[in-house]
This record gives sequence, C-alpha cells and structure tokens, in this order.
Amino acid sequence: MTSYFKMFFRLQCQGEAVLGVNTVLNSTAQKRLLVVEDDELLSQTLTSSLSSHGHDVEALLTGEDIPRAMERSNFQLIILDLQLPGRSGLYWLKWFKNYYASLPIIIISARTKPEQRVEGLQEGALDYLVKPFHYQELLIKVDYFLKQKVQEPESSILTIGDFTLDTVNHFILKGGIQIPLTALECKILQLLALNAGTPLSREELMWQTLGIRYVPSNRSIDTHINRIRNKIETVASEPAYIRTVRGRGYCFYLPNSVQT
Amino acid sequence: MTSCSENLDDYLASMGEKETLEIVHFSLAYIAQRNREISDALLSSQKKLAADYAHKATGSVRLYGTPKLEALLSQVRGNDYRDNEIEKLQSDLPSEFTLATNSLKQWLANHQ
Repeated sequence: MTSYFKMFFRLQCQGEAVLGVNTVLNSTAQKRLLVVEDDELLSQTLTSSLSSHGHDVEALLTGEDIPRAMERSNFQLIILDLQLPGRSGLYWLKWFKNYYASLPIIIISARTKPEQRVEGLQEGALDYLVKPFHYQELLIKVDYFLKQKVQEPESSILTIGDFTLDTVNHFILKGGIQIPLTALECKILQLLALNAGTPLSREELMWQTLGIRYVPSNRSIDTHINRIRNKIETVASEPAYIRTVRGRGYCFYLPNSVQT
Repeated sequence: MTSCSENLDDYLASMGEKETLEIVHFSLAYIAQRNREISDALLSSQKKLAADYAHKATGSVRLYGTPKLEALLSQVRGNDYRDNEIEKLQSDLPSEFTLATNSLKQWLANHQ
C-alpha cells in the first residue's frame, strides 16, 4: 500500500522540523518518552535505562495502545519497534507522521536490510537502530535528538484527488474554495486517507482519532462522516471518496479506483 | 561484544542494583521461555515459527547471551540452515541458552 499511497498523495511540509540545524542546549532531563516494543525483556531494559537516565518513560507492548497514550500524554520522543503484533510499526510510524509530524521517532528493529532501513527513514523516522544494540547507543541518540529544536510545521498539505487538505490549519481547498474542517473531521479524513483501500470500522475510527473505545458500539462517527462527505464529495449522496462498507464501516477510495 | 557479566555491571553502574536485579530475574524466565519456544518449533520443523521466536530473542540477546548465541539466533531468524543442520541447531541453541542462564545465575550469586 505504501507505493499506492505515495502515488496519489503529495506531502508538502513548509517550515518542517529543522533537526540538526538549530541545536539548542536545553536540558534533556525529565522528558516524557514513549517506548513501543513487544519484547518484554527489551522493553523493560529500555524503560529502566531511560528512566535511570532521568526520563519519564511509558512502555507499550503493542501499537494498538498508541492512540490512547497519545491522547493522555504529551511525549517528546518515540522509540518504535517495527515488528509489532497487529498493525506493523511502519503503519504506526505513518500514523505518527500524520498526527504528530514534528515528533522525533527512533526506530528499533532487527530488520537489517538496507532497503528496510531506508523505508523507515523515508517514512519520517529520525534514526534507525538495528537490534541487537547496546542500551548506551540508544541513550546517546535519545539525548542527541532531545537537544534539537523542533519547530511545528506552519502548514502541511495533502493532495488528494481534486482537493487538498491542510492538516495543520484544518481546511480543504476544492475548486479554489477554502472549506473549513473541525479538528476531528480533519483527523478522520487523514486516517481514512492513510488507510486508503482498507475499510475501517466506526470503533477503529474513533479509537485511532480520539483514543476512545466505545462499548457498546457508537454511531456518532456517522455524523462526522456525513459532514466530511458534504465538504469533499461532488455529490454527497453518491460518495466517490468515502464509501460505506456494509457491516464493516467506511473505506476511502483514491481517484483512480473510484467506481461511479 | 562484551560479556554478559560486563553488560550487567554496566547496567548496575547506570541503573542501580534494584533495577538491574529485576532485569536479571526477568531475563532468567525469559531465556527459559525463548529456549523452549525455539526448540519446540525446530523439533516440529516449523521454520517460520522458529524464525519468529529467534527474531524476538534477538533484541535483548546482548544483555545475556554470547556472540555464538547471537549468531545462532541470526541463523534461525534468516532461515540460514539446511534440514540436515537442524539437529546441530537443536543441540547448540539449548547449550548456549544454558550458558547464558548459568552466567546470569553466577552474576546474581556474586551480587546478592
């Protein structure tokens, strides 16, 4: 799906993080870090070593818990394993870049092939540490990246079919007209686009955008979807981009796969 | 690659005794589990499963293992062996895991 995604989406970040350029000498102490690693021993070791180094660390054994953790806390750096149960670390890397574009991410992985490392870096990771590694290697990298000045992007534009989406300022531009979105509508649209071609359930949409699991199932997401359709579809009652998939949820279709 | 005891001494200096002892105790159970999983998978000729378990064990092998164990895990992870080498792997891997266990126990004995 990676190449499929890249064919239709063009990410234009203006004012991107200028890591490695504007180094500042701020203290790296007491930074909040998120470790996503399914190997319990490695996770515990990393958590202990980072904590003893003065960081406040939260560890997750699965990527599925990331949205909730991100809603709860403000992390300054993410350490992400690529091979996770369920959705892969690469998916979560794209998810982070979708919603937290300037957040530094270090990948840790036993995948050693150069193309695998390149893929992780191309998707926005700052560094790629090959397992097994010595914990001090990671500490040095963490300290280095925490000392960099991170600038929030002024805008981030996704080009999707016949419209563009500004994910920072929350609006779409369609036919020369600027149409505002709410923050949640923007997040939902980003998530649908990230998963283009794959149906997402209502629960998954709420979980990955708000970190909230509704039990029993809640259909409030339908209201948001209808509002988004009214803004992006040419004919909202005959949606080309966001289709309802009976019994599954919603699926985002890219322009060349739209069947009218 | 430094030895297991050198690595643990590093941790001890960096993290303190309580954290390091916790990790060592956790490692002992972890090593036994990984040894069992990989051995069972090799015994039942489930190469993919053995590779997955070896992949999982790779991340922390430098904490407790020898260079030989790291090389063996890499071999299993990459399916880099012939069928007639499985028997040797089934013998070498448990030996290395046992060495790692003994090394951790020795370290514990010296620090408790």
